[in-house]
Amino acid sequence: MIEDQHEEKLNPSCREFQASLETYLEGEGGLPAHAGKCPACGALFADLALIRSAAETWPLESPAPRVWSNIRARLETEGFFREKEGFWKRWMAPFRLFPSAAPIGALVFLIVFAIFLLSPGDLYHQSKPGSAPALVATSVAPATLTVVEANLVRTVQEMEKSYKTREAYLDPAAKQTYARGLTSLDSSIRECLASLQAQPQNTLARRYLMQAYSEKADVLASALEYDGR
Amino acid sequence: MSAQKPAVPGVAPDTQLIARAQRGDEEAFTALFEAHKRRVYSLCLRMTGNVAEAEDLTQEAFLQLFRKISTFRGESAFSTWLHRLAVNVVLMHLRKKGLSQISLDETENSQGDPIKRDYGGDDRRLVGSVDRIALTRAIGELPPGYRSVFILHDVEGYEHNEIAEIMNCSVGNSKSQLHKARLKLREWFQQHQLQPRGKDSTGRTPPEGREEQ
Amino acid sequence: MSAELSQSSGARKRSVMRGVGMFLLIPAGLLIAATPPQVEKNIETTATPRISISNLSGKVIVKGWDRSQVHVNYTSSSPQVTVDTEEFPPQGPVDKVHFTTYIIDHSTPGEAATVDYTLQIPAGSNLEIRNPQGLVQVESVQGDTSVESLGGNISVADAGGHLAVRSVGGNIEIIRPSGRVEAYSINGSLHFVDPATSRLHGTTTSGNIVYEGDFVPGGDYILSDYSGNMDIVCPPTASFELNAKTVRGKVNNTFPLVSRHSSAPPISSANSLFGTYSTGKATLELTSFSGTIHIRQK
Repeated sequence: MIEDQHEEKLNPSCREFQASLETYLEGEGGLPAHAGKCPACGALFADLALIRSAAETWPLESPAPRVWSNIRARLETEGFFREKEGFWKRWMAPFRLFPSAAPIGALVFLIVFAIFLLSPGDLYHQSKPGSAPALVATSVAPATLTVVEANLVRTVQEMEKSYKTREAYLDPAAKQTYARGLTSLDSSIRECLASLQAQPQNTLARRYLMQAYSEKADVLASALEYDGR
Repeated sequence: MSAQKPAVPGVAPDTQLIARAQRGDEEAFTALFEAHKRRVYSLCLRMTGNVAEAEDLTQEAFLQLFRKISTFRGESAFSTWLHRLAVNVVLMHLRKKGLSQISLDETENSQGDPIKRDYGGDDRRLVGSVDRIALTRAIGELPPGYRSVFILHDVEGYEHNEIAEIMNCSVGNSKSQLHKARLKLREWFQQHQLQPRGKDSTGRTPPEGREEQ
Repeated sequence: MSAELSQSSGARKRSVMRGVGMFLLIPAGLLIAATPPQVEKNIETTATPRISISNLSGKVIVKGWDRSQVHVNYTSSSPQVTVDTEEFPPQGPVDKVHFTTYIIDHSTPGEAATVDYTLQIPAGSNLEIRNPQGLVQVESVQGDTSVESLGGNISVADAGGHLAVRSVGGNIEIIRPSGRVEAYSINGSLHFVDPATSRLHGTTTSGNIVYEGDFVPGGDYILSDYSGNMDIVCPPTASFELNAKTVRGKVNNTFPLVSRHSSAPPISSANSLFGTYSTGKATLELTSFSGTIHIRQK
């Protein structure tokens, strides 16, 4: 009843404007002149547009690293992760088409590999560039990052650049804590990379590497959002 | 979805990762999680307003996704698929909690206090008060049905027909709930801007623009 | 004459006394002015309200009690910081209470922006604390509890609900938790004492991890550090399956483990150990990159 009385106070232009308010908020159709003339309708539109725009640009938040740890643990328990595809599996992939031929293929591979290892001189360096056997190239190459890891690294680097510009404005205690955390994580990253260089198939080291990058991203995100609380 | 927000920029295309995940490659699972975690988690956090619940739901959504990943054939975009799945996980959770018998086809005032239709009665502007913290608080105060529609439409970018399908209501109802949600939010901001409840016992009022601290 | 003298002497005395009085009053006034603003209040709540405290720096001490009431006492280090209290709903018992510390003057130095909080809250509360710098202590809260800090130490005792604790540089101590526990730090150490929970997850990068207590049958305990050491001290009556792995560290174990599902010796290498103790009722997953993992009897 009260609402109706309030509505009765609205003049026809206000009614018309408010009936189409949603359309204007969606950016469909030009805003009528009424919005500029009627302070109440103008304020209403401006406020709702402000809320709409705040909602659209509401920043995303990151879950704590434990969320992935939990998911990973569950996936592992449920047997989702098969053996990581190392060189051996990739090399053997064509034989999967002929399962019964796989053991023969493996044997042939081993013989070729044994001859390769026993042959005098360094075949890798004797070969023309690009013609080195894939095995040698893979096993001696430094531990390389996957495309995904490389992208995560780039993202972290970008965040780090932003952090550097913001670092000076942090209060000394916060700055020191973030610096210590980032130093520890950088040291983890270096060590994990060194381990992977020595043992490219070390899944635990790779897991720690990914975890360190992920944690670094979280710490940087926290530092970038830090406003004293 | 009209306003699909991008996942982490520069991450390997989902199709490659999905194929690898379907083969049981752990790195691919990790990468898919990394690429989509912020969006899924933020959705869960916004819908529930609770960190612990949001973490559990994020976990649940990704687990459901990974369990079904072998069935993914690319008919729709992976992110759309994941997002829809996450929305369903959250809504199911809210229903279980009994928070939202979110039948949006209920009577007009079923979602809380009546909304004043006298939109023009108050021309106080909300300049500068709609920041992230305030918005989080204000949305947290919305009744569950309003909150869901507002988040799905204004934050996540779903269209009304999609919301109608997700929430099992009519398009008109989705529109009406959204409008009411926005008005409720405006009301909240007006109240908190002009009549701050919080004064400390020394009688001091928090400083202007306190939400921006 | 003597009367004049006497009068004159009296006037002098009064004058001296006034001087002394003024002399004493000035520092007393200064003392009052310097006393930090302290506020105490009671808020009637439901039995399971949601309480959040968002502080900048200072101590936050919270204890659960059996009343449906929040009793808060806070002290600001300077008039330049203030506390905003928000209560919902506006009428009747409050279901949500937010305490937020604000700086009035942004030029205020960090040390002057300190607020110390002491609260008693209903035991069934859901609690959320953000306190970047300073100690956080929580005791006897049965609802879900989340504590975030940047550099402060965190201690939580007798938590009953889901407990999520996170600090970049601070140490974390969790005593007798009975709900799910998640503790995470980068440089801080983690210390778990007598957990009665079946789900516990702790991660730190450079800190140490100490776990003292038994395991709940059917429970999952996942602990991970990077360069710190891990010390698991449990009673001889414990029953667990162990999966301990390191990249460059060591695993030291004093329990007589056997291989799963057989009485064969456990599977062991220089830096990993898998095996079962007793009937293997709980699962322990321990990982470290370069630290040493000790598993020993109490």
